[in-house]
Amino acid sequence: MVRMCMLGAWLLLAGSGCMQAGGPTAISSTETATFAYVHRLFNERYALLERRGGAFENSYHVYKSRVFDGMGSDSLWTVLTQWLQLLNDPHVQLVAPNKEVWYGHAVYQLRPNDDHFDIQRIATRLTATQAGEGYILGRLGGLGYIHFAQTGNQMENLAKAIALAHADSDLIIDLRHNEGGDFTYALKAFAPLNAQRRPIFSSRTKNGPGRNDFTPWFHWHLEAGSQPFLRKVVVLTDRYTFSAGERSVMMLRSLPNVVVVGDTTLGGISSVIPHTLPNGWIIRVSIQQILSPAGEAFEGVGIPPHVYVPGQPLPAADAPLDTALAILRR
Amino acid sequence: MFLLMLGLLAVNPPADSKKSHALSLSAGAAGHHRYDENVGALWERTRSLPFVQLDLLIQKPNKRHLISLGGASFADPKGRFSFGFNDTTMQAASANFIFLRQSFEQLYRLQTPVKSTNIWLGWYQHIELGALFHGHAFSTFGYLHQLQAGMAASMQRTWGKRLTAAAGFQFPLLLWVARSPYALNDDDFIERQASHNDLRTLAATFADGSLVAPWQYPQWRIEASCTWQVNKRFQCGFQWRFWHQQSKSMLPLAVNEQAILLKGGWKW
Repeated sequence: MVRMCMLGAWLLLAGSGCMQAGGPTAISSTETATFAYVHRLFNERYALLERRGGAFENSYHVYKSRVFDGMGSDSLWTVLTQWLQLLNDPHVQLVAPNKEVWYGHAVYQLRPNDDHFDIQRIATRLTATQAGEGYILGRLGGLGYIHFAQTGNQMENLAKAIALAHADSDLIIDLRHNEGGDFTYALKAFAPLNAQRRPIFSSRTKNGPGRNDFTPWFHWHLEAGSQPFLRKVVVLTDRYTFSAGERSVMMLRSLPNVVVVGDTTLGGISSVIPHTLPNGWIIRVSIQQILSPAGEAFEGVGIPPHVYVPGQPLPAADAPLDTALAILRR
Repeated sequence: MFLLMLGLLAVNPPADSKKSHALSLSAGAAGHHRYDENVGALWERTRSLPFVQLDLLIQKPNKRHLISLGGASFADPKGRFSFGFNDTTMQAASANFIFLRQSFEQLYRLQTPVKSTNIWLGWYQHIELGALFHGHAFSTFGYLHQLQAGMAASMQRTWGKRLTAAAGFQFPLLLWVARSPYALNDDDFIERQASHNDLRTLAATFADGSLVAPWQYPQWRIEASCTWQVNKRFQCGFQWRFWHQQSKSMLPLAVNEQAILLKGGWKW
């Protein structure tokens, strides 16, 4: 029995020794190898080079000349973030040990006018309030109101807001400061607002390393609800409406009874994937191109509202919300 | 070492192929090393404790069937590193980057003894369903599922009435492989997971696989075990196994996984 145990231990050790044998050799983790890998990664997988990548591509040699082995991770971090900044893409993010996540868009870095929206202030105006993670809903000035902070399973609560408004009132869907998530939740949640199947956006994804290697265009539709809510709906947006939050706006603006009020959205609509660099850092890469049914590309510029009403610094009134109330009371 | 054990078993007296059946439950530890250019340029390492497996062996004088079900959740509890970020309320938060793998395996093996030797030869069918999760707070989901059939060979020897040692290997001849697409999160995948029902997503992603030639996705699995017959009905022992896979597709993939399991079983 002792011999058998020794044999088992031998086998385990022999196996441990070859756990990394017989596979690809990991790419060098030096600063120059990491920089070169980022360059290749964005050339092969980043879907928005034509739209966002002009300065980024043109300055490759400038930033490459600043990278050398032994420069240290802090210096590499500085060079990479300065170079990636040229994309000004909020989905491009860099994650490294013991550092704050770096966001690749000026709005997310500087957060201008962040305080023009305050959900707590709106909450004090609501009656019949219900709230949970990422949403709050209630009655506001005799209308139904719901705010989504994310685009996820909290969107299932739209049904409650519709029930609250259904009999006699219109609805406000507030997507200001919606930081995105998974737009397929919105796809399901918004069907009860829709009377007939309609196109909402088309997208295509990188499927190979070539500049034009993309999947065919995939046409997304919003399905019709069985007893749709067809009263007026105002959708509120701001510069912090981002990613799947913007896809939600694209769905809602396809409906004939919807008016979008507020500020232009952030303009970071693509899907994104994280990728591990040779030195262990994580980088996020946008991998899709998106078009509206009319062929508009909002990536980089944002989705403009039907009625432009920028927010104002606190403690001023919530002008976009008050405009929404005025439109629905007309 | 493994070849030495095979040699040791091969030169010994013919296998005991009397009728006997056994149901055993195994649990132990497993290590998973993975290089997958779909998600990065690093060898990821993670481990599982426990790794659980249920085996049913039906042995008749001229053939034996093995049905095996196993599952594991691989995660490094400490994560690879921690980082800071602003949570949904823009409050400072921190998280660990982790690599997590959840897997389920089903194996069926049918073998017959080779006359006057310790060797059993036959074929096997194996399903592996694997979900991959990279990151925390900034995460992505991937998958690698496969259905395979191929050759299985093993050798076995019993010392006295109580101690049995066995070793074997298997490799596929027919492969169905479903792997995350080039950019992981394409529209087809988004649509497949839109139900947010794990079983439906699993079925849809598995169905999206394709037949792959064995030389495009070479892999092999070896295993060794010792069993001690405690009394007429009860047996215990351990099993070690090692599994290597390597894809030669556009995005290279290599997986090495090993497990050591302690097992207890009921024999009749």
